[in-house]
Amino acid sequence: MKNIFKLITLFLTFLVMSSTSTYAQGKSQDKIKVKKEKVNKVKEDIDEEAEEYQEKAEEMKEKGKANKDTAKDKIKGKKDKAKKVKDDIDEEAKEYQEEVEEMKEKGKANKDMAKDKMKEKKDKGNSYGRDKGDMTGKEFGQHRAAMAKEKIENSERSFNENEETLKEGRDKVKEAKERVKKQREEKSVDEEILKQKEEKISKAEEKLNELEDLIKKGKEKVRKKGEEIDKVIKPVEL
Amino acid sequence: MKKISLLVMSIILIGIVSCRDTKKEQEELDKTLDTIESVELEIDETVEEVEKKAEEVESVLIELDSI
Repeated sequence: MKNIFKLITLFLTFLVMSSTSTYAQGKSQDKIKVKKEKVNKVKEDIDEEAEEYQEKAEEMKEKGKANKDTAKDKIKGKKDKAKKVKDDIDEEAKEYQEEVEEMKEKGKANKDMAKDKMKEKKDKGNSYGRDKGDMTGKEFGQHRAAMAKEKIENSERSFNENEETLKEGRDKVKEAKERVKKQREEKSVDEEILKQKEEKISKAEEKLNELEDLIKKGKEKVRKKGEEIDKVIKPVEL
Repeated sequence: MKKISLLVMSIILIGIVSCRDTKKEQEELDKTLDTIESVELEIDETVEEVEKKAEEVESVLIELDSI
């Protein structure tokens, strides 16, 4: 009985110990589990955070890349634009250069032509201006004087023709003035347009006055030159 | 001999006188021609100037027709 009691006691003790140990073990395991869970949670959090950061970083990278691409595109666009502007300017400059060259060539050609004309005139002048041929000095003087007189007559004819133009012009100006006056009275045309028309009329009048003045002066000059020719002919004719 | 000398002297004198006359005549002719040429040139310039102005007037008058 004693042994049985001992055995029971021992069994109970063992049972208690085992349950304690199990409890402790269980508790410890729970702790570990909790810790593990905690660790896992922390790990997960960290992972999550890391993932977030990673995503953010990637996003930023993408964004940066996009910005970089945009900036690159912008720079490229600007470069293209600048290149285009430069090309345009170059082309324009080239065109101007060509134009200048052309004008230079033209000017040179005109200059040459004028030179040729002058030379021709000079030669012509020398040919029948100074070369007497078979004529005597007296005959030649008369001949040249007759030519000059003919020139004077032609110039007078030209002045008369221009006087006709002048007269026609005056008539046209008068008619235009009357038309404008009528339009103003009828109020059929805008005042601004009427002013523009009046400016044109004034310009025409100005030109007509200039022409009249030139004809007047030209006639006087030719008359004096005719007298000069008459004077210089006499000593040769005598 | 004396007659020959006189003849030679006369020929030289005539030659000198005739040459001087030709030179004088040429000088006068040149002077006349210079004057005539300058007159012609001035007339040409004057006529050209008037013609140019007349052309300007004509172009302005064309504008007046549209008024």
